[in-house]
Amino acid sequence: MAMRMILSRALTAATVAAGLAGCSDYLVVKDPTVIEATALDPVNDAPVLANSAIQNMAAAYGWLAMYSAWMVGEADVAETFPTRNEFGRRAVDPTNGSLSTDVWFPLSQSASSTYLVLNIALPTPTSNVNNQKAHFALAWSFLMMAENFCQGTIRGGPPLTTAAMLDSAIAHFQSAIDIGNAANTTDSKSMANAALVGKARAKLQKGDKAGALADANGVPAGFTYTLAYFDDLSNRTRVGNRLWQFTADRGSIAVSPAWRVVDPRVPQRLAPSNLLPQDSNYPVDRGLPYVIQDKFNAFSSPIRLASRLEADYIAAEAQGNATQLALIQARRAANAQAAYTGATDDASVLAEFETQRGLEFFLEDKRLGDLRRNPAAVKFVPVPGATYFKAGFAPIGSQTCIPLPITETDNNANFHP
Amino acid sequence: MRHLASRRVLLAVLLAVGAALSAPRWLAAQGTGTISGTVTDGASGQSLGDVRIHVAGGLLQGVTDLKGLYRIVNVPAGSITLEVRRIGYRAVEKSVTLAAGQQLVADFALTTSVVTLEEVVVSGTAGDQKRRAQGAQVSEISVSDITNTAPVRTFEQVLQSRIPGVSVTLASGTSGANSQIRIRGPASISLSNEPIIYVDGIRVAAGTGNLFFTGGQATGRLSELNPRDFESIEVVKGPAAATLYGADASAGVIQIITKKGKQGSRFSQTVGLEYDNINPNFVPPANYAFCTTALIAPTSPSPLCRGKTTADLVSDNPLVRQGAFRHGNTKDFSWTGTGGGNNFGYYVSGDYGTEDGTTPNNGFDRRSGRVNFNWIPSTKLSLTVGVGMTRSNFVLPDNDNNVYGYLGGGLLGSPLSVRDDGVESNNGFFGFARDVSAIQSIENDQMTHRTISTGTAVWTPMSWWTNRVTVGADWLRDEIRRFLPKNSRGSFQGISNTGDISENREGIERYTIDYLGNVKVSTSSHLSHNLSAGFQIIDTRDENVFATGQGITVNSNNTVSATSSKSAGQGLIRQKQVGFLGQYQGSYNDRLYVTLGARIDANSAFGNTKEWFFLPKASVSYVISEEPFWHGGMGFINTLRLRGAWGQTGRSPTPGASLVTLSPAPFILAGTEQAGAVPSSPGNDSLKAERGVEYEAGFDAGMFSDRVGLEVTYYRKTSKNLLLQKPLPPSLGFTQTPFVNIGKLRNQGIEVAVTAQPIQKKHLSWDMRLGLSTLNSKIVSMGGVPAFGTLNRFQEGSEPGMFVGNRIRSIDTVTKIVIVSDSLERIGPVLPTLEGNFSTNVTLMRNLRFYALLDWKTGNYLYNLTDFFRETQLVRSNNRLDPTVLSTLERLRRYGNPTAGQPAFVREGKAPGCPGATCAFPPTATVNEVRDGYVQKADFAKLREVSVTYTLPSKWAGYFRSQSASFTVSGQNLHTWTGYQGFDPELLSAATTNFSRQDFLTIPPARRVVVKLNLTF
Repeated sequence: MAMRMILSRALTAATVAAGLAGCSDYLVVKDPTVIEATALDPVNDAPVLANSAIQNMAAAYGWLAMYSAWMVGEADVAETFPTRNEFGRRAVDPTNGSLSTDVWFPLSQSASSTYLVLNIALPTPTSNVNNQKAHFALAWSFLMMAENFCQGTIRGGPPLTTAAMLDSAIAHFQSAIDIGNAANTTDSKSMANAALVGKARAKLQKGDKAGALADANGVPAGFTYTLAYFDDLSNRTRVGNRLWQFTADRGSIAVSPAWRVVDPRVPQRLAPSNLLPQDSNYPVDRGLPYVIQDKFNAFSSPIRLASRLEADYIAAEAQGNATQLALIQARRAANAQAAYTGATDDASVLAEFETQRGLEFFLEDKRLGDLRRNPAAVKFVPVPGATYFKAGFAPIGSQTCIPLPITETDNNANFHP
Repeated sequence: MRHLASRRVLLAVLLAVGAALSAPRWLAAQGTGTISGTVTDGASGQSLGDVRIHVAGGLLQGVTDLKGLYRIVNVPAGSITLEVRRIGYRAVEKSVTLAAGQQLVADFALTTSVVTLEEVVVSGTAGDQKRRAQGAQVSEISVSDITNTAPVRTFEQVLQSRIPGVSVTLASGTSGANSQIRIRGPASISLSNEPIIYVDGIRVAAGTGNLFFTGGQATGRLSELNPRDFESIEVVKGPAAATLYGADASAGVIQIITKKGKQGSRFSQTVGLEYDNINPNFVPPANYAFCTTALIAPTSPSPLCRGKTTADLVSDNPLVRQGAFRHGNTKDFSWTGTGGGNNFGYYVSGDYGTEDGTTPNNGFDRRSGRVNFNWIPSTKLSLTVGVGMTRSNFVLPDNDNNVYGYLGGGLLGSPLSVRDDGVESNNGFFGFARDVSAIQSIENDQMTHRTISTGTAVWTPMSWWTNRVTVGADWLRDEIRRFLPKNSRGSFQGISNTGDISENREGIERYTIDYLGNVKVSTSSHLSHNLSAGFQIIDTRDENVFATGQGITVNSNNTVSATSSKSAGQGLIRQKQVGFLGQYQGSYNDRLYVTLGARIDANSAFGNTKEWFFLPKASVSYVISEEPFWHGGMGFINTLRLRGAWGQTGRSPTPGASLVTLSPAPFILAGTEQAGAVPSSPGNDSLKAERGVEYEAGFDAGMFSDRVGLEVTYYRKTSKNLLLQKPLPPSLGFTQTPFVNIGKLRNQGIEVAVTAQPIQKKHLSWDMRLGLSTLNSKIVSMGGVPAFGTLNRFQEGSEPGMFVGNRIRSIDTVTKIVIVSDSLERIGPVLPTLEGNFSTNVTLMRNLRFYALLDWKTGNYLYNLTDFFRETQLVRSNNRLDPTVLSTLERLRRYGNPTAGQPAFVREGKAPGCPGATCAFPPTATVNEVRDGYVQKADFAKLREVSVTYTLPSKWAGYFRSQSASFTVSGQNLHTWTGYQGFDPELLSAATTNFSRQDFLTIPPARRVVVKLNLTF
């Protein structure tokens, strides 16, 4: 009887245990809408991750080009979002939601996603193009962060000064150059040259004019490196040209009055009736027609990232008055402008030099860095204290760089030592 | 050949069912009789329908029809106890002796009672299901009583202002839009706070449909259910009562019990006709602007400024000018049939209702039908099956936070853009060529086909052993569409003007299998014991496939296939959960009950951890007034029950939340788009469900011969292991914020329900009900997570999602300098801290019934973003433009210092490092950060409903060849008392979110006048 009871209880316990175990298996479900990290092969999928990192950088670049254009007065904010108008007013509050989601996060993702590759022990790391792409994307991310933001950080790390960010950019550009040259393919060499331009730019921003000049001179003549975009309706915010997206879809970017000039380097046109600014009262408030940029006129329009032309500007700025004046005249002539006849003192030449540079690289996210490097020489920037062009907004502020969003400083423990 | 075989099988099944129905096994057996009779209201003498007469110790029961008649056949002969119950009446037990073959007549005259101890509670209970045995409170609404007279068409209308602690917020005046339901406050910060919904024991889909974009409002899944099919609703308020619903019930459980057939009653049918006139009850404010020099010229295209002086203030009201709002209407036809045979009953219904909202592209149509069949094939077995089918069609306009919306377009436009020269323009609206005709051309539709099937078998092999199995499924399929037509006017943004189409097909399947066994034994004449055990499996699959396209040739050819640019996508959510439960309940003298129980749960959302979640509960209920020592000794208190309960439930995270994931994201390489990936979520493999721990204590008292009932409950609900989407620093690069189990949220409050029947005479009866509830909600711990949120903030020691801003410290009306705090400070809570409602019924001459419902909510704040936008962002309001409207002080409070070159607000500089280089904040603040003027108190009281119902005398009803006829006229949303300065203090422009309480260009609730005719044959 006792044995029977024991057997009976054991059977019951076994049944319950089997039932629970069966339930556990029953409860395992797969989610085909996401990529589980364990499903990726670290080595074989490295090209996917590296190319994705480059695209992250391209996406961040588009966002920054638009927001920094508003801040330095290349474009007016032709829409209602108060958070975007803060950029137009040079008074970006750390609590600004657009700052966090449109500007800081894409740049952060660009930087952090490179570590999905850099943390992999790839074969032949010193010539592996996936490593090169990761260093390349990371270097540009550091450079954009250094030029645009007052301070930075990556991957939840400590606050970084501008100098520290520029040093990191230079180091990763160097890695991209070295690996690209070692890999010695057409693409890797092209990327290495773009990294060389980036390195020169970072050194110039840091104040290392000799280093900048040396790097700039190493860039091959006629070299241009562009970031590719694509018209995919379902992925426009990722792969589409952001400047066109916010012209065509939202009507957010109006060429500001100072840049409404006849110059082939600043293509623009009166907006057709179906491309009105989102705040379509813009013409009323501004007293001007809505002029859109025509430099990027399709979702698939590429954006220039680096070029020999920029290297020339870097070299000229590093060398001073005479070289700058020579480049000014050359570029004016090349773009059907009359020769420069203004004053030739250093300040005047630098001001004209920066204006030519602004025309040259209109909406290419360079001008905020220019402003920080040569504040007195960069014109057409919204003037602190002046009335904002739209009614109901506070006057223009005095920011020369973008603050980190409170979403970063609040949630990053390294900001609260 | 196969078809033939199938038909034979079908025929055999039908014959078997027919034989079983017509000649149940025990019919031929000797020793049975029939009990029949009439049940009436003891005071008025009126016959009472829907009274259940249950033969104790078995499954047999009868239900009275409209004439109060019932009949129970095949009752085993012998001594029998009949239990007679109806909501609102004192339960009666009567012992009779039935001889074999006897036709026994047992009539009952019930006395109204506000004390409900004998009511049977289905939800969350095992063992003895009488309310007297339940230590935790489960509230019940008799829906059939409401729908018989009151014009309610949606689930939310049934629930609103009827149960203390259950808060329903209508959110908007858009027909078909969802409401927000909260039970005892928020249970979670990051997970849904909507209660889970059951229909006849199976869990059904709730929440909202997935319209592509409206700007704020969403379609409500609960609107797809027809309340006329509901017998009652039980509300399980919190973990103390909801433990048996497992690790997903901490926000509460609502169970809908549908109407069933009445075995032993003859067929009767009811026809209902309803017509509502829907008055927008809203005049949109005008827009203002100062004339410019250019526009005052004689040749100016502006009819408003032409001939005026520069800076003259002009106004325009484009929505009124173009007649954007209209009187909507509801037309509803319903039919129900009910009846039964000797051992079966059936309920059949059909309903067709169509509603045109107050804007041209707003409507809500619903066609529904239900068949319920209950069969008692033997004295030991009862079977109930039900199928409800609905086809709903929602048409929602763009509105709220949306420049394509009526209010977005009409309240943000400039009068200066009005022109009369025929040139296309904004013409007073926000968008170019986006006037009322353009806004109403936007299609935003959802058609839902839904079938809810349930089956329940109760097998009682012995009188002490009961088994109940419930299986069921909720299937629904959505066809969702958004269409912006091609137009040459340029009414929409950019490429959308070439025609923009989005289509989504979504299917949800949810299956429930539930078993509960119960054994009842008595060990002495005083002690009895109930042991219950069971399990529950719920399996959900939600899949959608969507496509979008832009660019069509003509608007009539408006499929995605017809577009020149297309994209598609797919989503899938699977979730499975399993729970086992057990309970012991002991009772002493049927007046002291002690219950101990537990459930263990597992959920696929926890990932691969396979952790089981243990949820215990305990409760005690003591009907002290039945003790011999009571002897009515407490004077006017004749019934008193003390109760207390403690229990735990949970809330599971979203499926897949534990996984480390990347999201698919393409990249461009060599001119082509290729598949790539970006970091998505860092995951959390130790994720658990939130644990809601609640205790409640209270009492139910019946006073003055049970004419006055008082229920008082104190509850304290704590959500532990709070699943918080702890914000990550964006620099980590993850697109999703992972869940972590940290922190603690506590809600506590008191719920009071007073029910009184001061007069119960033959020709005059009067009853009233008062409900009050308080809510004190606080984040006890954030688990080390820093406070976050810049408008709705989450920080330790404060209400979840409280409004914050830079508070005004001082206003100098001479210098115009406004000093504000230098950091974010609390403004007030987002949820009401006190809610109440009062309703009363007066019935004259048994035929004429007056009803009124008043409710109120106080203590919460609402962000009046509509005024904020119209006064500070796009300045259109005369509050801002006409300096005589607001006082100087108020203008400074709202807009700050108007002096050119001066900051609007100056921070006081008390935060560490402020003012100074290490200050985290700039020295000045903008109108975006100083919200004192726009985060406004949202206290209100509303006269929610007044109605008059006249029940025709039988003789008159006979003219319609009906047994009874009633006619109701009702007014809803008749008046609001509030200090809130926006359109309505209940507005929510994003009702699906937990803590976002904003009124942003949202259409306010409409006023309705309803006429309704009910005829029963």
